[in-house]
Amino acid sequence: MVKDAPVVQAKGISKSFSGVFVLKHVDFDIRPGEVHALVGENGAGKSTLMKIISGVYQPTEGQLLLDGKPVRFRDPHHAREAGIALIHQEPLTFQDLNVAENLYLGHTRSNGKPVINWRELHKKTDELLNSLNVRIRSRDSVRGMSIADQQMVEIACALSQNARVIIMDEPTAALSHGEVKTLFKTISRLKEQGKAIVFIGHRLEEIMQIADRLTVLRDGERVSERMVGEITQDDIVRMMVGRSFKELIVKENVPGDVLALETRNLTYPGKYYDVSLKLHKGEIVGMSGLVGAGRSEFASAVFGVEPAQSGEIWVKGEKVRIHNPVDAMRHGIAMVSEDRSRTGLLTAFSIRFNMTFAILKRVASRAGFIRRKAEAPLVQQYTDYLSVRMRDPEQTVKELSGGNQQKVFIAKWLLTESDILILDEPTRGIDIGAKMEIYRLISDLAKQGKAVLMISSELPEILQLSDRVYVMCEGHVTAELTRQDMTSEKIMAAASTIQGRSAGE
Amino acid sequence: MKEARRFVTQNVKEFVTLAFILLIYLVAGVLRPEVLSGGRMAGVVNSVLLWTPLNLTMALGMMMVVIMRGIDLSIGSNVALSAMVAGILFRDHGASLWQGIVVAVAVGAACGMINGFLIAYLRIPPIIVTLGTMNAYRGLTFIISQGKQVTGYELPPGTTDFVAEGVRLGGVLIPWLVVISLLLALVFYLILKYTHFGREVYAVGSNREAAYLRGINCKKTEFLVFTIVGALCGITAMMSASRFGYINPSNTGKGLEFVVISATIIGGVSVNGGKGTVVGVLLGCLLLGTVNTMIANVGIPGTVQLFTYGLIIVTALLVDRIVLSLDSKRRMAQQVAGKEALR
Amino acid sequence: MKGLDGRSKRGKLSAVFSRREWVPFGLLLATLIVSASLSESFRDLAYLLRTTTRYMELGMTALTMTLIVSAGMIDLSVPATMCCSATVAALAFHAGLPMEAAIPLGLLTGLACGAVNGLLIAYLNLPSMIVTIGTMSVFRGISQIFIGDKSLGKFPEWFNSIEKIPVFMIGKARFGVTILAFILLAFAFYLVLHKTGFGRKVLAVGANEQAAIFSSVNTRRVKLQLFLLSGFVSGIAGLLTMSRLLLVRYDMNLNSEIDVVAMVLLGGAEISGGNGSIIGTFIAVLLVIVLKTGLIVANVTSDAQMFMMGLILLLSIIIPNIGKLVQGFRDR
Repeated sequence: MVKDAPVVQAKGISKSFSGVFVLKHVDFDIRPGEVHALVGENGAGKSTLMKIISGVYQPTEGQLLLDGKPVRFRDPHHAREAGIALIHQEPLTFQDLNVAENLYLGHTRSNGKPVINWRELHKKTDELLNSLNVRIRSRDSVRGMSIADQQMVEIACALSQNARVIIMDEPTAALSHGEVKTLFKTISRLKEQGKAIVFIGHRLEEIMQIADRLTVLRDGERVSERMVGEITQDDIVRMMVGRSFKELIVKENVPGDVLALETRNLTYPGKYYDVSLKLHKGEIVGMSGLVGAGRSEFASAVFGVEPAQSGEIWVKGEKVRIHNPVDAMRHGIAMVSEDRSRTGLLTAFSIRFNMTFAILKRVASRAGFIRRKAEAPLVQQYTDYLSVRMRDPEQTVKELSGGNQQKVFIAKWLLTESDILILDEPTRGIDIGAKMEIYRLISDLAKQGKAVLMISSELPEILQLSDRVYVMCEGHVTAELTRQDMTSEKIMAAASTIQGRSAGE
Repeated sequence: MKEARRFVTQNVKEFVTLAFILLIYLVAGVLRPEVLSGGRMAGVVNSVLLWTPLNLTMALGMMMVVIMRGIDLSIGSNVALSAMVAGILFRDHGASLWQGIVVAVAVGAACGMINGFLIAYLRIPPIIVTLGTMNAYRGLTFIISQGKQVTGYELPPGTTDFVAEGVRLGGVLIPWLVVISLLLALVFYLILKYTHFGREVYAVGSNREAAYLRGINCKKTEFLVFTIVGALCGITAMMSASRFGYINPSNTGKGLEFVVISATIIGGVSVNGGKGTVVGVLLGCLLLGTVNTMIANVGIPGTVQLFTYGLIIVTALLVDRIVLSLDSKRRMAQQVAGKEALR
Repeated sequence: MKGLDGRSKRGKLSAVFSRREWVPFGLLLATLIVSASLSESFRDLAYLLRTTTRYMELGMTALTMTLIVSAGMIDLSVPATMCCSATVAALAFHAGLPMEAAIPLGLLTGLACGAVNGLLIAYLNLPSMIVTIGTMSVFRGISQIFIGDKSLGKFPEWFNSIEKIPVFMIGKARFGVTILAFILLAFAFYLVLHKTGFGRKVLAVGANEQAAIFSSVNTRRVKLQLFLLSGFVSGIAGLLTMSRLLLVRYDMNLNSEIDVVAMVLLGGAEISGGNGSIIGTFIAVLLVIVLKTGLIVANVTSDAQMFMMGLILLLSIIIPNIGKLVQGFRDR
């Protein structure tokens, strides 16, 4: 490998959001002709670092060097002009336009003519797509394209802008393994052309396969930077997980044997297939897998947001029909969804408003009027129980930190006194202190006899908290492990393998 | 064959609208065969043609606004204001027709700029801005006209020639107004299809975030679109003066916004932005024009017109929804099948 | 920019002053002072009440519209519904039914109109604005089909000019049925939007429909209920209008949908939903009344008031957002 000078260097980058540091003095180099993988748990700061390099955020401290010269990107567009392109996990394309337009709109204006020379553009587009060796054509409409193809369009768009650095944020998360193969061929080709690639990912086999260099981030700090040839997958896992979770997590529940929730062959073609799962009273069942494995989709079926197309749901030994969240709640199911601000809380409203929003019937009189006298003590009781740090219950949720927002969110569902709790990524994007409190809470809830289904992409919390774990991969349950035989290696293997094949192949 | 099928599936909306129009002729022909006979047909076509130009001209602008996920409720008032300014120049200052047209377009564009500035640069929702300016422009029209209308005698000679004269095609006279609006449609077709600006309008409406990342100046595009709509209001103002032979502070352009929005939506411009074609809008205008004409010609009392008109809008919406959901189902099935095949 | 309920309050006093309702209130005071200083009769409460009744009918529908806008939707078919309900009641009367039976029929028609809108919008997920632009023609069209260019009148004596029946008097000022109905409705809707669970659901649907669905709110039902309510209140308003005019024509309240929306937006409701204030709308209705009638009395021409209506609507949006404007120049 030729030791070229880095195109982009990040030196001592720190970033804080409302006082909380999510990145602490991180160094990161991007070299031409090299694939640099960036790994770490959710919330380790990977995306934040890449957003700083691609101009979405400004660093709180530290410096970016472009070709050795200090640079400060005003906005993502500025970074793009400098040759740095970020390919999002969810491709940012114009659904209503064709491929050529997706590639060239915006930056072809530089030739000064108002009229577009379509013939030339289509020719250029097809040449570019040919050089990537993909079967997309310039006149194809983007609407209806698979995520993989849209990613290709974005990559081609970056290339058409003469990008030198291409950052891919979990590009394989939503791809099938065939599509991953095509993507990797493209990445290799780009590498040969001397482009610098940053690859963010969770699937370690993929990283071993595609990356040259690897940086591990943990809690916003750089733990290690190594050449991939020098290390093993186990090393990476150890570096990612690092801290000893055992001391942080208190687990006190003892699973009972009364069945609380059971699903039988829940299927939604294209999302998940034949998911059968059992959840007992007092039990914490983990659900592991990669992003896009179908876990959240499965959860929203159980909660009735988007019911499965076939299969059965049994609650406490009875078959139930759940068409919408109203049904789910009636059967004692509560769900703390994955995306707090989109599907969870009304962030512009007060803590009080949010906490009692799912139990309006209980705090309202028969005529429908909210009884402040009934509402206030409940809010008080639960904010105390979860130790929500706030000025007063009238404060809007958006003024709270992520951890406290999450507590309000959980409190909202605890107030429903449901027996079955589905927690989808309960500790996403919150700091370590709040995480510990939420772990303690989950354990306590199970101890009280609630059945908890915890979906999580963070292995340590799965390993430490759950009594059993189901692992999903590409919509299928690939493993069910008991507490005795769960190890990170087994889970990782099941999460990236389907029926003996590796997803990366 | 495959090409033809692709052409149809890509332009479903346009074909549905076209089918709707043909259906109306068919129904009319069955109910009153004589309507489609030689003598009457010319009259029918002429009245469809005369209904169309004002609405088409405005719909071209509204289409761009809706593609960008906006709306402009002020067009009717803007038409009245531009017409009135020109009318006063005609009446009190003896301005020539051409001077009047230039002034009307300038006034219209200026009003459009005000909308555009408030919407694009001050980020106030279009519906609020244009609701406000709708009142403001109409009020201003009353103020400058002191409530008096500019009558046909006071308009410069030749104003109404645009309706009475035109190009003769076979036995049908195509009035200049129609020719002008069709030319405008052609111009907009070319702009929207072949210029950076035109494609950027779609891009911004389709995904503003992505447009911003690619360096498209979203605000400028939005501002320009509203300015262009304003200029079109100026042109429509003069068309209205020519077609109706007077300029009235309360009647001119009244209710135009709703008709134009309906034509735009029926023509397949999606309220979710990013989608819409000039051909579709042209068909949408023709459809509404046909409905209006046929109702009168078939002998359905004029009183049913409003009802039918509303019913057609609602039906068009429903058809749109059904076509869309069928389309997305087909796509999803394809994707699932594709994924399964890859396994 | 704080709404009434569930929003943050930094101390009671500052909460009172940071309320969005101050904008229409300030504008109302200003126009009142200007009008009263310009005109003698404008200082006469009795006169004011006498001349303003006709705007109270639209004002009632502005109250339901506030709920609909708070839920992130819009209903442009309100005046058409008013017209349609009145028409059906009048037709029923002329078909031989007693007026006592015709009135409920009119109200039912209002409900039916609301149901059509609600079903199309809530259960077929169609955009409310375009749907109601369409149904606005349908409802008024129904009225036109049955009465054409004529008018229906000759109602029983007791039905005519209900609004003039004085419920109570303060000095010479007569508080008639319509005015009191408006005030009562305003109070009722204040309770509904700001004090009930339903009101919270409405705000939640407007603020973040996804989150409301995930909180097990049946958002479709909420939407349908809102449009039913809107239809019903429009029915009441339509009948009151008919009683005041002594007749119904197909062009009753033609083009006044915009006035209703303007009242709501002036009152501080956000067009994108999630924030609406009945107090604000109440003040805005008064403001519109003052503008529309007061300025005529004060010898300000009707043309100028229209211009001012538009200007005031724009101002009321721009003033509380001045801070945001600077920012608006920067980002996309």
